[in-house]
Amino acid sequence: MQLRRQLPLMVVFVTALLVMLFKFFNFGETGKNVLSQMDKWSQVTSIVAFLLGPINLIRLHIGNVAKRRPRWIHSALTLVVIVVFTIVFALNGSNGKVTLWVVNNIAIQISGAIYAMLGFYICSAAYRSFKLKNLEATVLLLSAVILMLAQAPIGEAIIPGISKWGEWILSVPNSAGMRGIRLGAAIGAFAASIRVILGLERSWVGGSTAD
Amino acid sequence: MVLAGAAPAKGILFFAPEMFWDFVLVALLFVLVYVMIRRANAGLPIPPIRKIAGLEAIDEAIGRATEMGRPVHFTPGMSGFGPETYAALATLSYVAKTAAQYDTRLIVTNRQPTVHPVTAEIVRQAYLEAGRPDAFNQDDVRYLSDWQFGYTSAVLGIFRREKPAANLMFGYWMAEALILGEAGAEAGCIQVGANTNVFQIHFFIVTCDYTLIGEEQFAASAYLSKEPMLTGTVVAQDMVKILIGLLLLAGSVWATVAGNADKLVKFLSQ
Repeated sequence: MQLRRQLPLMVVFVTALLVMLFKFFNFGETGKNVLSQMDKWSQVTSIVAFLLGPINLIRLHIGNVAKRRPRWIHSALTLVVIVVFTIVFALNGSNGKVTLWVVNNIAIQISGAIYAMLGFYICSAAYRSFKLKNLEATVLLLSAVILMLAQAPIGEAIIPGISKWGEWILSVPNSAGMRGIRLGAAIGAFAASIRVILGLERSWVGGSTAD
Repeated sequence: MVLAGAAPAKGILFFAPEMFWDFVLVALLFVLVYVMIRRANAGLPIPPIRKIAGLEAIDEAIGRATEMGRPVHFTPGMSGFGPETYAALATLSYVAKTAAQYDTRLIVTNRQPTVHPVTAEIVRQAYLEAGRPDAFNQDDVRYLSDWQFGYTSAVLGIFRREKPAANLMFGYWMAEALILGEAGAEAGCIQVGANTNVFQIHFFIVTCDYTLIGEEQFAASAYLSKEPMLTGTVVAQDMVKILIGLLLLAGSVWATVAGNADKLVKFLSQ
């Protein structure tokens, strides 16, 4: 049990150490080859682990159908789709005519429909957030109005020079805020990685942090 | 005619090209983390982390779900293993333990098949530690779809069918951030969102009750566990941030006075 938790921590530590060694120090072509090889190992491991997800999906839906849980018919449909798609992909290859037809005419269309819901959700989210509740919401509302007018051709006709205001909002306060968040997030990610490398953060191996 | 190739870039001493200052920064953070760990072990005071409303709200969200007798939905985000996902997994560990103690159903959905077994193990372990291993239902830790909007539509279905009272979205988010946030709000969930993607954070801000902006998410494990050693690493991270802030200030002054800061940029690019 102890080894089951210690082993992944050791693998992470040694791998991170090797990557840093070959990234920071000049080992010429050898360094590049080692990093490329490690990248390949990472891809192979991911592909093996990839199988675990679909196995869980199939097990869950078989359980739903077998136990006749509520809406089990949806699970049955999911299983049929999984089987049919697997057969199509296996027989026709990932770039085959039938496969591409299925992907282009079914999967991408459904995906596009979900993505298109963003248009409606932007309206409802904007309605909620642009209410003049407090000072921050007021600033948000004013900025949004200026930016919308600055981007639309009619804005310049109503208020001459508004496109410059919009440009200023985007390039000065907006850019400064975004860069600040990015900088903080990058350093935060950096420190989080060090916690994982040093084994201080170990919840991902199924244990308490730093226990 | 044979064209002469560009001469390979050379780094300082035995460092790879353009890696010297990167190394210094990493080494500095390692040293600061080491110093903070030593301080924590010696029982010396470590500055506390400021109050983070989004993390404080996790207990409130689980409590609300418990009172309403409805489940909690947690997702570790869209990306594979990376800093955001590790931070989300640390939060999941806390959420799962709290949910197990309160006997509240926890639904975890995954987009990444590689992350799924890890979340399952974290939740199983949390129920075990809470002394309720029989309450762990492996069907509640689900892999949905690797396809971005396939995953999104599956979560929308869960919101409609299983009606969670709390929706906790941690990790890294992209275009689905607004769809999930808005659908969660419509479903009446109390929502906590966390993101480091600057193009999507604002969607969480307008749809979620609490949002962890950027680095706040990375402080989650230290904040929730209250471990002095982990808090020390957040302090070390803040020290580096102050240093970089000073560097930015120096660069701004330099560029203002000299017209540009090319020399400083060149120096730091070695």
